[in-house]
Amino acid sequence: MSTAACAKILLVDDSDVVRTVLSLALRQAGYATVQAGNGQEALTKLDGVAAVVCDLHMPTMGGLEFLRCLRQNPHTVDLPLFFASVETREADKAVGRELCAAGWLTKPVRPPQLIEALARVIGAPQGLPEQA
Amino acid sequence: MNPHRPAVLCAATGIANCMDSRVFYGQVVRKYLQCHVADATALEVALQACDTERACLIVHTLVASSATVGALALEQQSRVVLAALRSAPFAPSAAMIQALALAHTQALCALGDWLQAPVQLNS
Repeated sequence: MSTAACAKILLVDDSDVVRTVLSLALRQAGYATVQAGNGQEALTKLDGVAAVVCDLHMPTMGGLEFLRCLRQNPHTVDLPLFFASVETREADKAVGRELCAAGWLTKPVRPPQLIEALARVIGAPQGLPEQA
Repeated sequence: MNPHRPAVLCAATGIANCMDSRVFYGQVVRKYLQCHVADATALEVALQACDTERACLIVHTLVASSATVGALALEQQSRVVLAALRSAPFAPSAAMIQALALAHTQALCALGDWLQAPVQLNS
């Protein structure tokens, strides 16, 4: 897999605090980031995005509904999406699996875990070694 | 309330390595205070209106944000209330809501105090 230098990651979360922390960590790791406060807003920010990190429960449009929209669009049908949530209900996970979510992260998300998960799917960011 | 930087922020600032960690944490705490200062009141209003969906969203976001800034007592109390909200037809008790409101107030005060504390570089 090639190095994903400046690959753009879309962070979707209704918590400004969570977005701030993850965005800084990802940018310093070599990724570019774009942010949205809910699924509806995220649908307008998909241009050039290499992967998505998404909260499950958000106002207006939640994570599962957003992922369903992605899978119905031929341009984003294969876009990797990681869920990050404080809850890990089996029913939600089952829907996520059905919609081919790339993975699940439990909040509070540790930035190194997130970067490792992203690197596995889209390649290591600029400045980090490639995964074998 | 844990006044120290939690692991998630240590990791973020460790990766960042370009900004003093206390400055970064201060920015995050300010954002937290801006975003969540009215949450306890908003939750009470949502519960009085029997708007469980709105209440769940408030508490869910509170769990994630308080965990990120290291407000551990508030995180724990928020998780208790969230579990009660999610296990309908059971609703959170008045005691649960009072405990959450108290933890919320204590976290806001502690974070506010932290912002006023003398700066110690690279603490």
